[in-house]
Amino acid sequence: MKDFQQEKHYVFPVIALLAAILFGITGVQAQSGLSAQQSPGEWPTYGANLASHRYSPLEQINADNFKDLEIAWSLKTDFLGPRPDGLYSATPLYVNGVLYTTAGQRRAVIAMDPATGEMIWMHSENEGARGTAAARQGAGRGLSYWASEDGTEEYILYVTPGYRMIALDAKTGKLVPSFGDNGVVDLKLNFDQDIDPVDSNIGLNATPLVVGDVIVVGAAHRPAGSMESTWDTRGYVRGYDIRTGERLWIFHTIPLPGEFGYDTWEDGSADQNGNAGVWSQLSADAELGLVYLPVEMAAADYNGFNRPGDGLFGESLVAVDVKTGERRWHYQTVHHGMWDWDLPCAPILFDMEMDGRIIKALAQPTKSAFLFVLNRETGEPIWPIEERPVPQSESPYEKSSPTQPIPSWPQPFDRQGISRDDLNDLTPALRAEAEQVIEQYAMGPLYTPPAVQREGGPIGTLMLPADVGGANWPGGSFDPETNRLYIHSHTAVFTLRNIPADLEPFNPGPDGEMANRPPAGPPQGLGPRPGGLGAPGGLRPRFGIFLQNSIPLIKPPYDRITAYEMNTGEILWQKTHGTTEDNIRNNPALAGVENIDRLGSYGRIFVGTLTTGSLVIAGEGATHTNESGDTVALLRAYDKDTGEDIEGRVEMPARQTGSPMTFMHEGKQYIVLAVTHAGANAGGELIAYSLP
Amino acid sequence: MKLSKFALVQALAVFVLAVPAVSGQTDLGSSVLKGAYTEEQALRGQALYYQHCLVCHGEMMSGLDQAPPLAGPQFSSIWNGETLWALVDRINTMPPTQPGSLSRQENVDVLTYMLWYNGLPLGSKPLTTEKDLLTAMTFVTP
Repeated sequence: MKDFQQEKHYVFPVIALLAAILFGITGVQAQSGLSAQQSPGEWPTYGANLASHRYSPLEQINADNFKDLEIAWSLKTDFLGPRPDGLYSATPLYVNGVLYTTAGQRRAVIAMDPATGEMIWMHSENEGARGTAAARQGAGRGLSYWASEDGTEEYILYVTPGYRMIALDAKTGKLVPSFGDNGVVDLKLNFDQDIDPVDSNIGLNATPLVVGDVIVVGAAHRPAGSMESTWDTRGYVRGYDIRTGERLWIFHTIPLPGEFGYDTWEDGSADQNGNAGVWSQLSADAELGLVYLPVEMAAADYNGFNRPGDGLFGESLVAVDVKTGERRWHYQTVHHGMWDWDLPCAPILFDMEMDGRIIKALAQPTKSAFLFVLNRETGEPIWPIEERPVPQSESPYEKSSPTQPIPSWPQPFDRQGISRDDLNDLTPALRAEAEQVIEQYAMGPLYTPPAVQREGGPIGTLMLPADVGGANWPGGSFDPETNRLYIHSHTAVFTLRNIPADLEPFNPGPDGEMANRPPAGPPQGLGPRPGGLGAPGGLRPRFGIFLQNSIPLIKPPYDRITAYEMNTGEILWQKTHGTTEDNIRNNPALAGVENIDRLGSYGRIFVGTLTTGSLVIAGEGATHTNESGDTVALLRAYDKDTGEDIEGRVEMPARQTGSPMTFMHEGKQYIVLAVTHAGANAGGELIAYSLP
Repeated sequence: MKLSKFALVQALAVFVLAVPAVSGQTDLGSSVLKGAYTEEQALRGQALYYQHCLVCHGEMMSGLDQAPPLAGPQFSSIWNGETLWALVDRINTMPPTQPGSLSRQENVDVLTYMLWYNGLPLGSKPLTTEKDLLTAMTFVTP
């Protein structure tokens, strides 16, 4: 454990008084109980406020001067871990004149001077084998801030890769002795399940959520798409007392016998399954006293053999009492999932105006490109959500759900299901090639299940949105002045693997003796020569859902930002976001084709939007080469009313991998975001932009 | 800069393929395009891949959830023009929960399975495990 600090004294204004004064000036208090945490120039929690608006009213940076943005300072984070961070996804916090963030492969915490990037203090935990075995490594999404009502005590709290919750004094970076065990709560303990302290598959890279004097902590597992292991650590959620670190409550995302929802797992299969964690960010309504938990899938991402039934609370949004953890309501967005469509991001809470009334609502984006819009007090849909029949699995072991909940409104923000109409038609030759490629695959509407491996059968099942979305962990942003919601999504074809013909359900047994069985070895006789590899190119065209080596099978756009008017649910505008990547742009098959400079970024593109007083801001999730030969990704801004591009070409040295935030410090507005360099020189970098 | 290195490699690769008489150390891309590993090696790599890598990167190397693709344009657009040593060095940090757990030979074998999967041809000699030699070879996709 390293503890670096400088001796400095700060005089902090009383936060509550400051907030009260500032609320009188701005219109931010229009949303009841939602913006109480945020003063206009600050960013005190991951989502800007507990409603996850990712919004700031600041307008010093605006449409007229966005083009003048310069890098104020930047920080490469390699030195904070044993090797560079491969995906830097944190969003810093700005409170009381200090910028705080996690950084580096070991998830160090740093407090910085916001104007210069100078380090004030740093805290790092070397967790040894427990850290190396961690389910979620790297800097994660960041950290959380808490202050006592009189402002004299301030904590920075975060969850380490080794799944320990740490409280640091925000002024000094020292562990808070009164919190847990000298500043540390071991989250692998007191978990209602016995797990190995080093090797257990549980951790977190999301930030915990501070609601009043309670801190709520989720759970995540190693990212993996296993077909076969279902016995795993269960991803329960817990609430702790912020002053003492005492566990206040636990919510069983997979119910125990006798608990509500246990019967939605047939044959007692709830006992045989793990996962169903909450790896996403959370939202809360402090007035209602509710915290909203977006739950992921139960174990086995691509089949449900070992969990017949709907399986609450997998893929459900659950509202629990922030003080007791008791479930108030839940809404399942996918029944008996087989598509890895975990709920990936915090729901956005907002006060809807409909027919002269105010309705306390929320919008939950999904990987599958839906917005589930619900009453956040009761969980009732605002607009009808219909249980519609969906294709059924052909596997004799899969009891697929006969229906899935389909929101009738709003319209989805990205393409769902895949058909011939989706094929790339940039040229007739590409279209013809695409038609040939798809003959070897199955494809169909949303919720087409995976096929079973068979002789002469499809290589796999094409799927839109992909298993990673649609939307993903960045979620969306919101403008409380106008009740508009903004969300980035990407459009990329995923190939859902066939279910192996010899895969059968297995009962892990009471001791989990078949736990985490390694996947079967390579299939025999991949190619024309039995026992050999066959021609180079692997299972091409199996992964070859690219035409001419690099052009996507489907037509553009490949990523977009959608703006919704949330009082009516209408889509206000939709814009293609990213510049076309080099390997598509320069492919000879597109020679002579016009208007291909901005087709959107193709692939697993995870981009968060920031909404300000006048702009929607987001960086590109992929790089391209500019006219000078440099590898760049643009930081883009849009008029939040019309979606028009704001003039200016702000070039970042790498792709955005952390959602941007903004704040005002000593009269100057900054935009800060995390980017990650790829390839041999991979590593994370934190960049701060401001006006000259 | 990445682009100019890539463009150079691509130009050289085209040049080399068109003019077989050219040889020597300056042909950065030629060796992987002409057969830099054996089938036996790639089969070993395949077994290792299935054991250590498949669970996160997928049977088709298309990536799963948070782990990136290891084949296809999203992989080659990042790694084209980088040295084979850079790839071996990266593989050595994998899996994230057991970095450095594979031997040099095993890391190189996994790389050859990836070379095969990316469509690079088989050769008659196995890929070396020596860092200096790997640093002199460049990853290029056909």
